[in-house]
Amino acid sequence: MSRRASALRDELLALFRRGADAPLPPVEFDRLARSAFAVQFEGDPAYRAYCERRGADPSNVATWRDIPPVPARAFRDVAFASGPRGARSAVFLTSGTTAGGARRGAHHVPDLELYDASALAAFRRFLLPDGASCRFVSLIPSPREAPDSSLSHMAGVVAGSFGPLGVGWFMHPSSGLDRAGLAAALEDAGTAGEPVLLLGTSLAFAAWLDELAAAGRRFALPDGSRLMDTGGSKGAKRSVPGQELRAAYGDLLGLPDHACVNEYGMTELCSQYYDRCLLDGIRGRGDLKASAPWLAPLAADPETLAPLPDGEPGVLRHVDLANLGSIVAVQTEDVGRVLGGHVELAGRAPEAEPRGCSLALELMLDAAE
Amino acid sequence: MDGAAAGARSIDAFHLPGLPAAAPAEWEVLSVPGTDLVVRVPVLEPDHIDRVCERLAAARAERLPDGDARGVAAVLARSARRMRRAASEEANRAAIAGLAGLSAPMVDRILDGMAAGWSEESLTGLLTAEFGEPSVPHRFAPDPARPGIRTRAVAPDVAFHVFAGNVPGVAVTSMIRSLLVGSAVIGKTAREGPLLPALFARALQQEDPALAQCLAVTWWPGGSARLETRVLERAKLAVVYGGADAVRAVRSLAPASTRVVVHGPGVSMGLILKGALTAANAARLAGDAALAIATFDQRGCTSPVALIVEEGGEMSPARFAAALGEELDRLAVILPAGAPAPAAAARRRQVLDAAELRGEAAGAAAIRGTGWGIAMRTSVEPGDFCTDRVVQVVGVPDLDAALAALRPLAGSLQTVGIEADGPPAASLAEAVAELGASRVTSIGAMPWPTPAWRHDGAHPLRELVRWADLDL
Repeated sequence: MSRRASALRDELLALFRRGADAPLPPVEFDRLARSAFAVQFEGDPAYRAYCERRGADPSNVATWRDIPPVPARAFRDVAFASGPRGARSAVFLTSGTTAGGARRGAHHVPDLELYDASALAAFRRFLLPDGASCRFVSLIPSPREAPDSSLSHMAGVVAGSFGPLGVGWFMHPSSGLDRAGLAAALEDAGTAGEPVLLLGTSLAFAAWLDELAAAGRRFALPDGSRLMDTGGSKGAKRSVPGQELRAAYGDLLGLPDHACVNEYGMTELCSQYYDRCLLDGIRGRGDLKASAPWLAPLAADPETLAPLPDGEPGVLRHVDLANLGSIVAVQTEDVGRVLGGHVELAGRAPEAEPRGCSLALELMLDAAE
Repeated sequence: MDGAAAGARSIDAFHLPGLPAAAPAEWEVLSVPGTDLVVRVPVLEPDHIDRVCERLAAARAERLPDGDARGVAAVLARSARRMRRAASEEANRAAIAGLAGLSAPMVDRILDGMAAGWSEESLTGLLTAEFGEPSVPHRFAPDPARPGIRTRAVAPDVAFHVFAGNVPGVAVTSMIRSLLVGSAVIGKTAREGPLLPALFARALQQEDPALAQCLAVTWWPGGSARLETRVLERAKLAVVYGGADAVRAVRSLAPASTRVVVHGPGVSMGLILKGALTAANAARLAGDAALAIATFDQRGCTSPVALIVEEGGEMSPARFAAALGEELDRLAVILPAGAPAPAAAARRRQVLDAAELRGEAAGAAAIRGTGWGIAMRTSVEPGDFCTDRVVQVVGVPDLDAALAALRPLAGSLQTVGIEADGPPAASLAEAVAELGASRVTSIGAMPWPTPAWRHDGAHPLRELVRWADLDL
């Protein structure tokens, strides 16, 4: 590990530990992002050659927006591992996608300490801004049962740090949802009057709430209870839940709308975006997502990948300093906009419009979902 | 109701017999990218659908009591020629190209290619291929295969067609076929392709006004269940082109008694054996492959998304790819690429960037030019299939490996183009058919199936009728 890489790693770790609400001036973010780029340019020969062909190197990348991004889909084939190695490391895999038997992506995270510090800070800001103590109830499999899943790892980290009242893991890869255990945990918390923090994928919540609705069952979770949901039903992306699901959180669990926070993350990123409704105490207009200040989005032209001005729709790119161990600039195929540092994901429109009879078109739409 | 131009640069893209001129209260206006043109269609309500279907059924009873396939074939062929002329008019041509996201020269080429299937000779030939005579057997007649039984075809009075927007002209072929077997047609176009079918209906109106009353066509947003439920309650047959979602949506709305004929997602590939990769043959082959890729901007289900190339020929897969790139460059001038949808553009760009990064490690790479790209691979990667002129070139050591590369696509394969030194071994074609391909041909012929092709594995006309036996 070069001295420069090691110093940057320590600096970032300190930054993450100061918290996601500590200010990070844009000029500082820019300096750190370009330093990370320099480390990765030196550390990964394939990335270096890729940048050089684009005429980019640490001497001429003027701002973080100019750092050459790698496509998220490249993680399927290339093991980016340019950054310093920590005491704990992991390889996270994207969810399996069945479309035509495409391979799973792998994100090599050589330094979990950075990952954990980033995840904890953002989770605290967007799920626990009031510093509440909650019982953690997870519909995400435990990291022990799903060691390849970045989502499970994150759930384990946040529950370990912020769940002094304990955590219950009620989703099992082998046997599915433990409905009885889940119901007992929620009733128990209700009796004790202790708030609950529910974690799960939108798909898992939707299936469970459908069952509750069919059975005429509902819970009235104690005041201060909250929920984090994320996509994860398909491909690498964790998609945005519909209005219907949000309404069901209120009807069947007694959660106010602003207490239900959607997370948007990708296996290829070590940091995550969140709704800021719990932080603000109210759900704002639209579906804007915020992040810790060390994760910055931009929208790019789909064809040229040139950065677009604020507010213009394009394909989303993320520059995540917590990705020091792989590549900080990751280009996705998600269509959306960036407004004042917030991400707005565009839905697929128009819905169910027949686009073509070629499988290539079909796969393309799957990817856009 | 038929549209008159609503404004200087507005083009009506619908033909709806039975709909009173004053009926639609609202219009849907689609602006044509890159032009000052707009295309408009009426916003329909379910009771409009009822009135149109009533009119279609009544007109069909008057004009097509016995099918009259031969006479209808002549009228349809004349109408197609008339439509072709209308589609060349400047504003129409620009609107068809702009909405489809294709260049105007590409639209011209596609329509010229499609026109071969719309001639009277071709239509009567198709009738003969399907029914053994240039007509549809609409009266009981002895069935030579089943002594003592007489049989006849029965066409549904109204057929509902749902079109995809990837290749202009496919909708016209589909409507022509249902009319030919004696059904009235209500067609729902894609947002990308409302105008050409409307131009066909208008041409038919001029050639044979009574027959034009048997054809309705317009666009509404896909998934409008309240409209589609109404059509499906009335039509006995639905013909659906499109992806899995579109097919599922129609199936879920159709009553059990409505038959659904599906032209769903398929994928096409080229297979080049080492014997074909001689110095003498390679230039021709690269040209054929480039044209097959560029045609329809690779959005057709007959467009090759990957070329599997056997190693050990006079030319390596990598050298073949370089020759292919030169041909794609040449075609970029003759047949300019259109404007891909943002998701397609993003995917194309990133598949190539990822191939380039992978190449650093694996010795394979990406080749790219203006509006095209080649991703070199060692195995077929369905997750990286693209449209808009980005193809995988997959080097394999031998024929067994080539077939193994196709195997994961079993069930999705449609056309496989094979190039070998002389005709490929029959066993190879058999193996490809076993994998589910519904057509094996040369790479050059991939985009243009013969009109009598058993489209996606089914009879093109027979699948549009049912049979009644007289067993007395």
